[in-house]
Amino acid sequence: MNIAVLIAKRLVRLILTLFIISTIIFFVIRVIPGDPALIIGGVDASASDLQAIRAKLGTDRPLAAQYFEYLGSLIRLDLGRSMISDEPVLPMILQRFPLTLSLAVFGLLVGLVIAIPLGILSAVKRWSAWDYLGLTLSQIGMAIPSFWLGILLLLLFAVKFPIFPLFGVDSMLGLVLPALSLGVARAAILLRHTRASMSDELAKEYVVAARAKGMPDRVIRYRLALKNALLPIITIAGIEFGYMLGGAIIIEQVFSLPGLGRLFLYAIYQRDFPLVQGGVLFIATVFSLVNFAVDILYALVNPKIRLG
Amino acid sequence: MKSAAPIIRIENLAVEFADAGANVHALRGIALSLSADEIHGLVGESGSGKTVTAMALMGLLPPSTSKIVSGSIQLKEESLLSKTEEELRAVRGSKISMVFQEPAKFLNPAFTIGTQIAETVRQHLGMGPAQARARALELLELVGLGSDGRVARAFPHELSSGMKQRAMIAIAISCEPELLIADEPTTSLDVTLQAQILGLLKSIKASRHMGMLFISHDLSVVREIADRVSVIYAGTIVESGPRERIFAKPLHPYTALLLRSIPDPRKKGTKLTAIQGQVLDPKEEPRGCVILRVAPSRRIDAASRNLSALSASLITRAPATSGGNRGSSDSLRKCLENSPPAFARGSSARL
Repeated sequence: MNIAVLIAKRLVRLILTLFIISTIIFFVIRVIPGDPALIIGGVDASASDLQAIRAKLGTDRPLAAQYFEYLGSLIRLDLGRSMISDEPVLPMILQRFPLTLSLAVFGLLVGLVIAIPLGILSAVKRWSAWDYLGLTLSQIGMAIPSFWLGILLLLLFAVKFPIFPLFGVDSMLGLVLPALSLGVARAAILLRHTRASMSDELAKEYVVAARAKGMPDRVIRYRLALKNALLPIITIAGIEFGYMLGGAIIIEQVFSLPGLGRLFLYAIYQRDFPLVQGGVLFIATVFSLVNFAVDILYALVNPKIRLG
Repeated sequence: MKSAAPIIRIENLAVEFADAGANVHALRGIALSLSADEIHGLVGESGSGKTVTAMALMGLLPPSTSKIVSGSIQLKEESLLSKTEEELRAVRGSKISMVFQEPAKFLNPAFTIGTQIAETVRQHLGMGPAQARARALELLELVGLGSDGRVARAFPHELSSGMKQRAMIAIAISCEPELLIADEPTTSLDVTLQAQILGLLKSIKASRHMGMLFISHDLSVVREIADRVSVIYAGTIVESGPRERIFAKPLHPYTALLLRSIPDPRKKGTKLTAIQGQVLDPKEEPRGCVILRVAPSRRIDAASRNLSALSASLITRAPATSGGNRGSSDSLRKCLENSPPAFARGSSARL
């Protein structure tokens, strides 16, 4: 199958997914018991206050009318206005997004840069000292909570040796420590997958055939086997990346970063329904987009996928 | 029968594998020689050492688990066993190349056929990308896959198994090797494709002047294609000779047994002869003659009676290059003479 056809097909699937997600979000908030106005206003709010909140939310009108209006505004990329600040929700999210995006990108980069070479090394020299080192590091990386690593990094590299800022992101330098704390956990997971996937590939018959063709080990590992081994790694990396794009609440808290995680956290505290609803929709959309990108990448790496 | 000096000469090659502390005797001192323009069939049961022989020729025995105990492999004037890994890599794919049994597994799923051919010629012949691509198209045409580049752009999973095997042959002959090892190249194919691939291999051998070691468990396929045949059993070449002679007048009892187990359409309805017993466990140190494990005792008796005639005929027939014949018949005679009759009878009774 042609790659363009594949993209078109996946796009249709993406739009369908987004439609279903937005519908679910709409009905979950409105259909499950409990009046949002009551939750926002609190038990001691007066009837007229509640009515005002309902009017603002639009929940005083019939469900069908609300739903179609909601879909209409979604198409216009209008996610409503914050209950607290009365700002439109989408610009609020988009304003915070670059920070979260860079944090996720750098976190993933840190993960990949550590995991792929070490994972390959582990697979190539299985059960050697290198392999045990890799496995041990991975075990430690998975066991360390990222907030603890973050605090440790701050104490060491922002307080004792003030190389990096203690909080905020006035420059790219401020992203280094948060990205490291995020990336180490990703690295630990990705290393395991790289090792397993690479070991599988190196044991395959085409590797014997490549050696029988006189290909150097270097080419066999880093080109011929790695291209096949990348498939599961791409999947895991995509999922990890998707999660990080939803905002790394704890890391943003530790480093006082104004990212999506904190925005949504405060929205929940303040019962800012439109912002929470918009945030969930945004995260779901971003996750679907990452999946879409992973699908396309997959097809580029593995020609067999294009059949399906 | 001999037309040229041998391109490959294996002498007294013994290979052991270490397996959980036990020594596995994969090859127990084989001798084999092969000249250019010759298709040499290497026949034996599973586990007899065919593929180990091929891997030893390629220098691809795993160094961590295998050990070459004795012997030599000469590629023309060069001694392969004394080469470094670096030097061997220059030989593999270029002077000696290999076609494998299951093309679906031995082709890389993530690269196009064209790339897989081109990377070989770029590696060995130092061609640039464009030149290598042109060479790939040329080779694909040679193996009957067309020259329009459709197969070159295809990935392995897009081809039928016959096409995959042709593609693998194209890779193997891409650098004009002196020796092509075909390890059961038709075993995974259906009969029609089998015939086509055998025809292709024969025509390639004829046009390219290369020697070919054709490994198979299937005597009827070997009869189709081989000029000379060596029969391998339990890591030993038990008999070696021109095809016509081997099939018409097998000298070794094991060869005779193998021949009798080929299905013959004319004998439809009669019971097919099966070789009794099991291939000698390679971990076992053979006591007495290994062939006694499979040959019914009367065959062995007959063989023993004919033995002096047998070795005499082999010695007088064998030219200097096929020392393997003499070696193996000697060892057979020695082995039969040294085995106490009780052991022979006992073992055949057990079987």
